[in-house]
Amino acid sequence: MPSAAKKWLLKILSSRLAGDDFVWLTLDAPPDWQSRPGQFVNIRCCEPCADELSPLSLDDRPDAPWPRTRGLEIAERSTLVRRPVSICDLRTHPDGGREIVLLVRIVGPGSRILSAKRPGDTLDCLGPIGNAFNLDAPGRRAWLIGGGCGIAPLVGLGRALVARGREVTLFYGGRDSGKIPLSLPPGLGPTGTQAVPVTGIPELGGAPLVIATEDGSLGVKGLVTDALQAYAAQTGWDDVALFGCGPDRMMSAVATLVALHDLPSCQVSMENFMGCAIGVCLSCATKVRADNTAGFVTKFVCQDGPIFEARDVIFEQKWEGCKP
Amino acid sequence: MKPALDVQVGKIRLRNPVMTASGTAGYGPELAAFFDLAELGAFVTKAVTRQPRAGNETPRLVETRAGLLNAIGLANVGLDAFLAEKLPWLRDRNVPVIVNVAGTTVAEYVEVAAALDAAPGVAGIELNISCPNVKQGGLEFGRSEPGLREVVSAVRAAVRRATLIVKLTPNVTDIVPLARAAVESGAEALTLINTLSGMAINATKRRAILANVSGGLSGPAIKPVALKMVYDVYRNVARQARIPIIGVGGIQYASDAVEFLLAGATAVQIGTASFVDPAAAPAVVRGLEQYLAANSFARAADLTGALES
Repeated sequence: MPSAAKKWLLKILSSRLAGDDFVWLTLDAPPDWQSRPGQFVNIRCCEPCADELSPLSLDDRPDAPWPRTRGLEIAERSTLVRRPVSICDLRTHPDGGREIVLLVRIVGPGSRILSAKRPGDTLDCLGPIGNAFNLDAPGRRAWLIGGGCGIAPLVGLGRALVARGREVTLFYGGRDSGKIPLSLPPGLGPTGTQAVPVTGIPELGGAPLVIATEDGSLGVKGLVTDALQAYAAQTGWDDVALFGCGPDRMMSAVATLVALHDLPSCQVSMENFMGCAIGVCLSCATKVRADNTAGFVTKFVCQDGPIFEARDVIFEQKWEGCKP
Repeated sequence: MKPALDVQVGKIRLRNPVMTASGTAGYGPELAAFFDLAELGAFVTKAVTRQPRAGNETPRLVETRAGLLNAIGLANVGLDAFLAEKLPWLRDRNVPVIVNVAGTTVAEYVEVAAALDAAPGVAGIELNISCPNVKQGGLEFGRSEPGLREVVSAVRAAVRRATLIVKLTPNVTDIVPLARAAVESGAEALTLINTLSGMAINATKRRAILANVSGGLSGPAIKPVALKMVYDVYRNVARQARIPIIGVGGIQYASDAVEFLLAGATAVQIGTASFVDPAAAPAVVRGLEQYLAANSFARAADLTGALES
C-alpha cells in the first residue's frame, strides 16, 4: 500500500528533559500538516545531516589536509536508518499556530542525538505514517494503558476521545517514579492496592491518570495491569473500550484481560524494528491471527499498523530490550 | 551544455545510470509516493520466486555501525501475483523494469525467468544467485563455478527478449572467476555486489540478534569492498568482454556513485540509502549531473573506468 507520508523539515520549538531518561520535543507544524492519533514520524538522527555537508564539494576543499579522512559516513555522526517516534499530540495554540508534540525515551544513539537537539534546529521527518486509532470503537468509557514511551500516542488519543464525549482514564506503569515523564502534582505517594486517579497533569490536558510502579513508590504497587484490575474492581468492566501502547509483554497481558472480560475492543499500538517505515524493507513483520492453514498472516507494523486489535495479534515479545 | 546521462546496459537504454537495488524498493508504488519513477534509469524489483514466500521469523533486521544487517528471507508475492498484480502497474511508469529472480532449483529459475521474459513490460531479468538468507539454492549457485554456469546457461536458453543480468555475491574468495563464468554463460551485464554475510550478537542476552542468526550486511560499511570488486571485475573481465557492470553497495550520495563509475561500473543501484531517504536515487541522478558538468565530462558513460593511474 503506498504511503501517504511526505518528507518534512520541521523546526524544533522546544526541548525539555523529563523523568530519568525522557525528552519532550515540540515541532512547528506546517499549515498543511495532517495527522491523527496513533500515527508516527520516522526521524533522521544525525548531527549534522550529511546533506548539509554537500557531498560533492566535501572532497574538493583546497585547505583539506592530505591524506584526508573522507567519506560522509565519517564526517557525520548519525544513525544509518531513521527512528520511528509516535506522534504524541497535535496542539493548536490560541494564536492559531500548531505544534507537533513528541515524547522520546533516551535509550540508544538515535534518541540521544534527538535529545541533544535545540530549539531552532530542524528535524528531517517522514510522516505522518501508519493507520490511526479508531475513535469510534464502542464503549462510553475509554481506558488508555501505557508503559514507558507508550504513553506518547495516548496523550493525543485521550484528548480526541474526550472531545467525542468519552470518559477517559489513563493508566501508566513504570519501574519507579523516575520512569514517569509527567509533571505530577506534589504530594503523591503510594496507594497500595487502591487505584486512585490523579488529575491536573498538564501534559495530559487534565485527563485522570492511574499510576502503577513496580517498586510501589508511587500509585498502585505492581504492573499497569494490576492498576487496571484494581480500577475495574472499583468501577466494573462495563461499557469499556481499551487502548494500549507499551512493551509486547504489557500488551500481551492486556490482551489476556480483554479476552477474560470479553471486552469488545482493545486497540494496541505495536512496536518493531523498522528499516524504512514505507513498506519496502519488510523488517517489521508481525503475525496476525488468520483462518488459514498457517493460522496467521504476516502484517507490517509500518503500513498495516501500528494500530492492531489486540485479539488479532500473536505476541512474540522478541524485541524487548532493543535500543533504538 | 548539459552532460548526457544515458547509458547502455545489455539491450536496455537507460536515461541515466541510477537504478533501485532489489529488495529496497518493493514493487514500485511505495517509492512512487516520493518521486516519479521515470526519474530513474531503471527500476529493479524485490526478488520474485515461483511460489509466494512469507520470509523469515523476526527479528529480520538490525542496524550495525554504518550498516544494516538483514535476513528478510526473500519474502515476496510469488510469480503469479507479481504478473497479475504488480507488473501491470509498474510497466506503465515510463521506466525500464528489471525483475530480480530467485529460486532454489535450476528448473525454478528457468520457469520464472521464461515467464517474465514472455511478459510485456519486463526489460531485464536480474538473476539473484547471491541471497545469503535462504536455506537452499540461491547462494549455492552463486558460490561455485559449475553451479553458476549451470543456472546461467539454462536461464540464458530460456530468455530471448529481456536483458539477462547476473547479480553476484561477494562472499567468495575471488569474485573474478565467477564473473568470468557468468559472462561466458551468457550474462549481458553483471550486478555486484549483493550483501556481505555477517552477524550481530546481543551480549546482554548472549544471543544472536537476528532470528536467522546471520544476515546480509548492506549500507556505507560495505562500500569499499564493493568498489574493489567492481574494480577487479572491470579490469579482469568486463572491460575486455564489453559487459557492463552495475555497481551496488553502500551508495548514499552522488559522490559514491561517481566512485563506482570510475572503478568500472556503467550503472549503479541505490539500496539501503532508499530506507534513509526514499528519494535518494533521484538525488544521486541530480548530483551526478552536477559532477559531470563541473568536471567537463560530456557523457556519464565517459566516467566508466576513468580512474587515473
